Amino acid sequence: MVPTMVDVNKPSSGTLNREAFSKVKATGATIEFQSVRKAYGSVTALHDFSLTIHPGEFLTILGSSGSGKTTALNALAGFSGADSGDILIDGKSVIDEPPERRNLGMVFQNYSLFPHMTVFDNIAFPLRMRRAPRREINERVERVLEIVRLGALAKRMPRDLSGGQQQRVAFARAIVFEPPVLLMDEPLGALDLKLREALQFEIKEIQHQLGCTVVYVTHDQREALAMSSRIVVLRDGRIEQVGTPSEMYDAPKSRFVADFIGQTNLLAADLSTAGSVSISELGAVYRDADSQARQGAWYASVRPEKLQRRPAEGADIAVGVTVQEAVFLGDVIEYSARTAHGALIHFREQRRDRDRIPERGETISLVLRPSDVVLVPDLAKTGR
Amino acid sequence: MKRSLWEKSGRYLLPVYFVGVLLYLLLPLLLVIPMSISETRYLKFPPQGFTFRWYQEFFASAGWIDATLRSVLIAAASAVLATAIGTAAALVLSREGSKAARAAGPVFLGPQVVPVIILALGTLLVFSRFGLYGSLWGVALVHAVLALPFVTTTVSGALRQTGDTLARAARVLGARPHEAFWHVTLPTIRPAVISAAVFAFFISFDELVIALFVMGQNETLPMRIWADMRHDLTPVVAAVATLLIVVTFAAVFMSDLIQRRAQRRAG
Repeated sequence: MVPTMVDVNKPSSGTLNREAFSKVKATGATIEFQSVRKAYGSVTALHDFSLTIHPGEFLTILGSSGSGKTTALNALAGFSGADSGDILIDGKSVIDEPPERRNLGMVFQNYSLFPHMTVFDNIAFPLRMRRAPRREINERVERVLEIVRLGALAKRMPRDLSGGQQQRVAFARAIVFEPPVLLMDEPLGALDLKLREALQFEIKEIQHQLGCTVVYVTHDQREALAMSSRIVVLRDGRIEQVGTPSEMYDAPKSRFVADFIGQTNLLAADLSTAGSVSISELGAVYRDADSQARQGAWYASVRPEKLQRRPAEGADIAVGVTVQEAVFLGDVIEYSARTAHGALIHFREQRRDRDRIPERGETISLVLRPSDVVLVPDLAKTGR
Repeated sequence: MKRSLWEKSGRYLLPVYFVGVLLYLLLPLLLVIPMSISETRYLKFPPQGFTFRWYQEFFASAGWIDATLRSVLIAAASAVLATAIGTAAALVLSREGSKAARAAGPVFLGPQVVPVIILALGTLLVFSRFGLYGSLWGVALVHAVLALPFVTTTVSGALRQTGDTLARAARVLGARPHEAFWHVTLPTIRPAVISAAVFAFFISFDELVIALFVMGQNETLPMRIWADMRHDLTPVVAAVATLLIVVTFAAVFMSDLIQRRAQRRAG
């Protein structure tokens, strides 16, 4: 065995120093949004936003631009007030408190490191503002620098750091005073994909070890699925759905959520007859004992991995399709295919060694379990 | 064939044009310098002989030196005032969602648009009413008004670049409003503030019209130059002008250097 040298201070090292964690501990706070409403002129950015975030939870507010996610975060941070409603942290109303009195750690999309201060001074800033004694400042800054493994860069200026290093400094600065709540506004938005994925794990780890409550804002559904303990999907200033990542993926409550989170096939469904579901684009009609007669725009959401070529137990729906395209992704093969009724659908299968990949134009038969079909209303059309 | 000729001439045309513009800008300035060393008792170009006599005369004359010191004092006071007020105004203007401030924005550009002679007339009326005629502080106050638009636009530009986010970051991390300004906002806009102050200084330093209207016997340097040109037209004027050119270029160059260094730092 040749012993390997590990340079713990190597600044580019992507992993966190786990031992250093044991000395930093924050207690997560409860956050309550109570009917928070905020309008900009005639545009209501947030309607009646109510949500309770539990201590130590990693809650992601997910939405596209203009969904109100930034408005919600800004209201919590204290950058913009609310027109009505209240925000409580550990049961205490903070709606009238300025940002500096809310005791929040925050990481911004563009890092927002102070360009005229060294890494050390940036991280020391929250402690200095809190009038911490010099010795404590030195100890704490060194500790978090150890966690993010940037100890060797303490005297550097932000401009001399890479994007990933700047982001870690921003994290260090946000957690150095062990805040009960950590806010993150698309903190990985400016980084490239590889680094983003690596940092996702780091953030989760920081949060686990620290125990603080995290409110994370993003438009990236994959990021939300990967990191959150719960996700809130916002759309046009309203909550579309709240749930764990698997709930959001397996049981979306609206067409929007089904479409927004993960990939899916959305096919118009006819529910006008009780106990029966008809998906004309698949040429499928099946019995569903629980299903009541419903009017309006309903859709069947079918995840691509639920459509299979092999017969399976309970897979009662059979669909004949013509293969359009097969995309080889290594472990998985993704297909697009057209049904006899003209609908374009996508399906995906794990690659097995001896499988023959169907060719373009080939007609194959797919099967599907009725229980894997999720029926979702189009809230924009049927109303809420 | 035709195009290639164009291309060939284009390669030379642009540098030639550039040198032309440069001469256009600098020639009047450059002509003054040789005239300041002419041995003749009146302004003459091309100069005859060589002497530093006119420079000595400038430094020996109480009238010239008093006027110079007066102008420096007025310009310094005016620069401090304009920089403080203009920076504060830029901070308010940059604040998001401040509708009233945005509506008031163009007012800050007013002094740059209104003819100076109108401002001078108004100043005269106000000064005579309040007994400010000939007051150094009074004229500094009015010069600050002239410099305000410049300071406000320069600092606003810098603020727009850093945006609100740095100040917000400071606030949420525990800084009270004045701490966020002092520790974060001000250091990031410092280069712009410095260069605005330098320009504000020179806006006041070379201002003639308002000074002529309200300063009376308390001559400023531009007034002294003006008077000398009308009565004596000695090469002392050229000597003063040369000194001013040197000082101004040095100051502008320094302020430019500061800006550049800051830009490199922001990277």
